[in-house]
Amino acid sequence: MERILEVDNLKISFKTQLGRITPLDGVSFGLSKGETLGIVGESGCGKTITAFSIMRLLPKNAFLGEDTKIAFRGKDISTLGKEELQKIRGKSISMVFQEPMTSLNPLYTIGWQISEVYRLHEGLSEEEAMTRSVEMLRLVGIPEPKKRVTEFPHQLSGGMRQRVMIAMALACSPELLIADEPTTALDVTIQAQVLELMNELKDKFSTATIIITHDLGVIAEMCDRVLVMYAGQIVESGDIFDIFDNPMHPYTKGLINSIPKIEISKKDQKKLSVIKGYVPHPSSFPDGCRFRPRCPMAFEKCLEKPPMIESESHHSVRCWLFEGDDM
Amino acid sequence: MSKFFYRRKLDEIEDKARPVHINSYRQLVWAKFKSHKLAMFGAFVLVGVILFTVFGPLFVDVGYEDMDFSYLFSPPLTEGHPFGTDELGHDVLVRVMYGGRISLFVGLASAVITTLIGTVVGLLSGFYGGLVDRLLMRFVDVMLSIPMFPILITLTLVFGSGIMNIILVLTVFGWMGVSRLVRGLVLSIRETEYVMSARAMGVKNGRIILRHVLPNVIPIVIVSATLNMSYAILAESSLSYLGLGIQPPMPSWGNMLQRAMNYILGTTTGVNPWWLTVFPGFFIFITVLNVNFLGDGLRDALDPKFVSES
Amino acid sequence: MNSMPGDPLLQMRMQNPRVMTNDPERMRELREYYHLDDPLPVKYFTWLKSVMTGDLGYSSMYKTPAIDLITSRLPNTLILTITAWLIGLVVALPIGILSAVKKYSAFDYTTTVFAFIGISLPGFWFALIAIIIFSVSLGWLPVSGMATYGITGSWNVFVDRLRHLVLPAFVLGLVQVASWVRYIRTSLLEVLDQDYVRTAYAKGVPDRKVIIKHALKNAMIPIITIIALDIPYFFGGALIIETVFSWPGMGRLMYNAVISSDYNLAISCLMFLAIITLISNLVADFLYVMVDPRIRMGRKGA
Repeated sequence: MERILEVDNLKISFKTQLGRITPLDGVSFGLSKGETLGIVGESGCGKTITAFSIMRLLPKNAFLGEDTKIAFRGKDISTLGKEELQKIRGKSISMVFQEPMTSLNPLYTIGWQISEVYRLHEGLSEEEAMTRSVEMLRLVGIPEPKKRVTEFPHQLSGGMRQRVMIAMALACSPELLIADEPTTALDVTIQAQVLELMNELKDKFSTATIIITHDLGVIAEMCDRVLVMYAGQIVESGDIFDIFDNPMHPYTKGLINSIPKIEISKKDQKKLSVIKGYVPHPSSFPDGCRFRPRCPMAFEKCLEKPPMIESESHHSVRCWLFEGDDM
Repeated sequence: MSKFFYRRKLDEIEDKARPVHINSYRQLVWAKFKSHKLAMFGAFVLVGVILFTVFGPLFVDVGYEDMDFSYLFSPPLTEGHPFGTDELGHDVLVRVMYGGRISLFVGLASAVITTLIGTVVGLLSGFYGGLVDRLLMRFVDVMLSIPMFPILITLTLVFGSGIMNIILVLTVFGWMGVSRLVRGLVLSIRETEYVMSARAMGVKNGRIILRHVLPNVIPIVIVSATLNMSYAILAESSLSYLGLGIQPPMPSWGNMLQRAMNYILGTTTGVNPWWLTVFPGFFIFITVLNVNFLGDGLRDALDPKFVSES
Repeated sequence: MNSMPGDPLLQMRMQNPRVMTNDPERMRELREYYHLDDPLPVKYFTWLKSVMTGDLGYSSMYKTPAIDLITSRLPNTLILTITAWLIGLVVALPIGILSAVKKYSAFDYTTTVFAFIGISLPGFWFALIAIIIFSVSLGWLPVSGMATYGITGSWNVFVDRLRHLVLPAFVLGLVQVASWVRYIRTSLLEVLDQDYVRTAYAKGVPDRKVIIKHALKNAMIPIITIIALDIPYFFGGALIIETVFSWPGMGRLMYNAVISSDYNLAISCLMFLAIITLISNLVADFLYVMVDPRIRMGRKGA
């Protein structure tokens, strides 16, 4: 199985008016062809920054760590020049963003915006590109695509706009698709539809996919493997079944337990469990294990930085509780 | 503007910036303000100008009316007259100092009054809304779109000239800009959840305005005040220049320029007294410039969402 | 005439004692003619009525109907204002765009400082300094007026007019450039922060295209609006500039009116200004509708 993406020690710092902030501190993971990886965590854990850094969509005051490598199909793309990078974006790697309402340019028709990708990367003429765009719209389940292609974004609903985004992203059959909270801004029923669509398409095109979300339900629907992130680091990673059936890190356990469950009989109803405390701001990450202040199982060793401890089944965890365990 | 970043040794950045721990809102505001170089510079210069105009005359024993007949139209750096003299032997430096007092006073007074009126109007209009609010804002919008200066000179026709009248002229319509800004902000604050919950709990309107709305409006009010002050100083000097503002013999930077204009092509003796034009005008310029710097710095520092890249 | 303190008739008499008499009969006739004793609303409506028919009353200073004075001066002001506006546009647009694109660069900082200088400069002082430098010291350009007497030949006249136009137009235009540059920069920066610009980058669109096709097109909407809405301010600034340069336009006319307490003329000028403001607002609204498809079509769906 070809390794599509290999991210090694991803470190991102921002230089601001108030000093240097490092929201992402040594994240490593990889992805194979056709695999779907989920990155889950709360707001502020660094998952969106991770997604953006692959295609270098971060602002000018962002800095990459010295030893960071981002290998796409074996080649390090973190040092690519502008023009080379532009060839990859939209063609070999594409992204779907969180806010469909604002992610499309209000002054151009959706047909024009989709065909832009074709004109740019496949050198098609306007007509040919438009025809292909109509096809893509049909593929993503938009009714009357020929009519829709001449409409403007404000004439479409949120769910439809997100489908357009997906169409744009998959237009050139990229090898890697990165979806940043693709359904968070949508209504629940629409969410289900869009997720179903994404599942269908990624199987059809065998696109390797990274899904960023804070919703464990989405992870369960879509992913083969999961990374759990907290405060700029990966705290647990593994197969989806391993993570859900056998969560190791206290944070992961906390997340899974805080999903409200509907129980019919009063006997089974439990109080909603909660992880006490707040997510730390990147300017003030705790020393040692970053989850320590909120962790119910913390002990003295936690004042030191825990390393990532890996098991044979590739189920890894960053926690002193598992030091020396045979897993 | 491409969204690229450059690979750099982390140590390099380390030298230029330290990790930072901010603990309170006040610290944040002060830190942001300090890092705004122009604002710090502006504040510094302004204090200098104020000291110069307010305390300067104490160190000189020449009055602004005193005429030194041995030195008419002398250029700067003549003995005893660092800025030169005018056609009647008045010392330009001294006149600049006294003129500064007047111009600064008018500017400050107008700014304070217009800001106060504008804030109150904006608060009440925005909070209570209704027909009065809409009509009032219509009126304000219309008046604001008409260029202010022609209106100002017409007002001098009605009110006359002199310090108090000029302040009146500047404040009659000057409060409108502030009120619109404040009202806009009040509208959005009014719809926030904490105000709505305060109302739901039965807190009296007056208290809501004072405790919840007002503190959030203060930053924008402060910034408006600085803008108003710079406009007031410019307007007063323009009016005085045209002969409609502060009247001689009382000096103001504006009316000094009016007298200077008579000699712009040179005097009867062939001298070109450029210093009569340059000095007063320069003082107007740097005062307004630094008030603007200050205002810009305050705006950046007080804006809660704004932390710039460096 | 209506909202001013003081009896207008007495004013007129003070200015020109030969014209007015003390004859009570005559005074009464005049009072009736000028509707001076009517209640305020009536006065207002009669004024409005006469304005509609183009009768703006008499200028007490020039002894001619106000409207003739204004219409004769207006073209001169228009020449000055439109030239200044064009100069402002040509200078501000590229600089504003470049500062936004090169945010925080040396160019941007310099531009910001210049912009600050521009909005802090007293217009009339800038004009005086310009005169000192360009007309007095260097002698390149004439000091005042619109034309030199005694020039013949249409080319010479044209060049002469141009030479007179340069200084006032530049002074008027450059002061506005400062605020426009900041506004253009801010508008473009705001657009560049938008999600759809990020989408464009993510699609692999080259930088230049993103800025011009995606960002600028959106930023132009507020920019065009402001540029159209600022036209009245050029007229306001023209008032001072015309006075400094003795340019025979409407601005200077208004100034003279105020200086000589010619209420009628002053109010009439102000009214013209209000009309000009109204027209530019309408133009701005119209442009806005033309450029933004969301407004053009009315909101459907979503």
